[in-house]
Amino acid sequence: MRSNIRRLVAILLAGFLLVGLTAGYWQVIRAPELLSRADNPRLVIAEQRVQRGRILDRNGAVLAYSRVNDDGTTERVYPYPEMVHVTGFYSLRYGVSNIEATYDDVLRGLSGRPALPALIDNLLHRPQIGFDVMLTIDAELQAVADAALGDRKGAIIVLDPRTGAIMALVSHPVYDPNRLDEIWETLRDAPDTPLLNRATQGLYPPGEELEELGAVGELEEIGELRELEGIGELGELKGMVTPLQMALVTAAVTNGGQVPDVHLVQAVQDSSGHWHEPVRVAPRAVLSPSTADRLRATMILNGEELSGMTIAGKTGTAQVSEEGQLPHAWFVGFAPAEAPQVVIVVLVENGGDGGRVAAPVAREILEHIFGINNP
Amino acid sequence: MSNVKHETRSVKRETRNTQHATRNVTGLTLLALAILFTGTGFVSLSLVERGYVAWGTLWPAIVLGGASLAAWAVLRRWLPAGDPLLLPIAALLCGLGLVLIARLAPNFLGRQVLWVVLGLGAMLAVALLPPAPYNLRWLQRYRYTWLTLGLLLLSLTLLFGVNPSGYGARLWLGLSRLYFQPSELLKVVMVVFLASYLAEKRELLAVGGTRIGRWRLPPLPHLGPLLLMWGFSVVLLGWQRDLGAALLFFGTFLAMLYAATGREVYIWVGMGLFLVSAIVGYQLFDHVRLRVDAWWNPWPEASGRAFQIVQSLLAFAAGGVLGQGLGQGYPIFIPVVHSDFAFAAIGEELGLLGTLAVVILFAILVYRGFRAALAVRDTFAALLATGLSTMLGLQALVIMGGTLKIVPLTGVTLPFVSYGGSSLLISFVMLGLLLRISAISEEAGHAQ
Repeated sequence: MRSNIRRLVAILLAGFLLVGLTAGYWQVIRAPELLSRADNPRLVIAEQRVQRGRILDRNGAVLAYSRVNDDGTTERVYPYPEMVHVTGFYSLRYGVSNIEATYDDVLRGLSGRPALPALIDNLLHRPQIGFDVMLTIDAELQAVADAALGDRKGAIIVLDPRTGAIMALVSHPVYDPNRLDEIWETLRDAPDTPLLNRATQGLYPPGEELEELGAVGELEEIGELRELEGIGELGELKGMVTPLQMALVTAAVTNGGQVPDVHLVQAVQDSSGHWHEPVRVAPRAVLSPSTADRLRATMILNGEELSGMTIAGKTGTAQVSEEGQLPHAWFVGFAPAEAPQVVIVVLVENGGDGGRVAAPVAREILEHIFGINNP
Repeated sequence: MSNVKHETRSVKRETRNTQHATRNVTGLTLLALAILFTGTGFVSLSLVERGYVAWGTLWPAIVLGGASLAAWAVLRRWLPAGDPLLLPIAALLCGLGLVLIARLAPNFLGRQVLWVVLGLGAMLAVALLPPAPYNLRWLQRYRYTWLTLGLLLLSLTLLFGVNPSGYGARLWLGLSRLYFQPSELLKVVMVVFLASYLAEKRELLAVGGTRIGRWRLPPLPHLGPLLLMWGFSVVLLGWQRDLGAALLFFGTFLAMLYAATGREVYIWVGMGLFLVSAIVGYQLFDHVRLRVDAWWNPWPEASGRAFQIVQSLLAFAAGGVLGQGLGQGYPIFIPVVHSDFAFAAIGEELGLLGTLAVVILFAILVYRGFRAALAVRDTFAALLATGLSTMLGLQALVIMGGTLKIVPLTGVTLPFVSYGGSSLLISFVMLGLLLRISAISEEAGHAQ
């Protein structure tokens, strides 16, 4: 009988061994795969506790931050909701977009943190704290541009042609990223497509007057704004350009044909609080110097005087195919004409005449930039 | 001459007493560790939930500590030869269970503590009564009485069974607000009956019988209990929807039959019968089909019929090696985590180290039970210890394996750990019997 009992002992102990090995299989070997399953409720909870970094403008104004509730969950707050086309949104349900998406790793503190402290923080269930991202955007200028465009649909881009830094990027209509979960359904089906970033994704005919500039923008791969999404799909429609492409061609015109590395992010912070500038790409030639100079001269000729400063520029009125719709109004320019510091593009969708509609918007913005008071 | 003999005997007795004293001190140390572990568990829960140590929340650890130390003192006085490891292991598992219940289902904590104390009392009762000389004649002799009582109680559940939660299998008998599960009592009764029956008939079952090809079938009249048990399991399976209990009964029965006779044919025939009834059950009953399907491939129905098992595996995965820490994981996502899925909660909060610790504790417990079976000379006691150890071991394996997707999930508790009064009480009764058997073998071994 004893040998029988010994055999039973062996069988049961083998059973315990099997249970131990299987526990190891699920808890260690298969764990990473299981935990990333979309139906793992822990993902949402972990996500709710991440204290994302802030998004700042070039002067340190807070464009987005995470508020920590009493229960340890966090909420994303956008003090400048009208800048949603720059910051993007962050939503548990609908994901992330724009800067919130492209700098997700930095904002949630995944990159820029040494492995060991990260492991210890995780082990001790310390809240995951993200790092700040500073943009090249000037919130004050952005507000002026925003107001200048008013209720009209359209886009404005202001950038520094010497560096490629975008100082203002407006797309109308906007929506409130603070209320995204409530308004998403309406946004998605709205006929005026507020989710579309018109400055970087909106495709418009350049119009007769701007055809030559537009052609460069359309044909050449003239640098891309990696920080915002959807750039790769541009240029599919023949003869269509985005306001951003127009701004880049204009920047090339002022630079002897060289297009600068366009960017929105000035610096990102690391765990020790130091700021790092992202790696930049060297300027690339998209126009021959002679073409650039010729176009530049034309734009200066078309420009106007503003309190002793010459604004170079060109207006455009692009007819649209839809019956009974006003043409799109363009203004493309730079200032000061002799030593350009600013490139500006204004597009008013179905606004009418470029000179009468788009140019005054640009003038208002430039007046603000160069500190010129209205009479 | 007789003087020398007398002296030798007294020297022997002294050595034995010293040995027992050492073993009891070891037992006390281990018990102290188990109580310390439980106390630490409650302290860390309090720290996680409140941010400071609320001494008032530590009372379950104190009650467990006091009751198990008292039990240890009683055993040291009246059953010094009992296995010193059994009580500390059970206390540690109970303490872990109390911490988990405090964390996952605090409403049930008071009741579970009460059941632990009652369980320790029941353990002492069966371990010590009637007093020395230690034997189990009272159990062996009245086997048909025990069996009849057990079956009677079970048949009462068929007629008057309730489920305290208001739905699910009606396996309980209710008396005002206290509920008891007769199938739990029947586990012990059945093992006692079989041990007694097989101790008497094993010679008959081990030899002779009709020959079929390579195998010899045992004499048919003695196959009666086998068929009875099989029929009984089917009844449990079909009428009461208690898959887990059916599996335990049948597995333990086969193990005891094999231990008594050494004939593998019983195991093969028994497993064949079980397979047949499993297939029939799969075809006939939705609840069987559901569990088997959810076990075989849970992933397509992760949010539907296989929700529990998938959430269980996710909890294990979330634990990793070190675990999230007590009170810091989310095992609460698994439905009925405090009873059926206690092991998964351990996996998430205490990690692989925690699950392995529990597996090892059960392995040691079962091993010590079998050790008593191997050491004791009385056949009945040996078979009883074999049956009880198998029952405890199988139950732990079935539920741990269920939460780990090794076998289909069945609603049995993790002995000593899960919430559930009847199960806890009966586990302690089984522990008490094992204690007594280990003491018998120890005494006999030294008397030689």
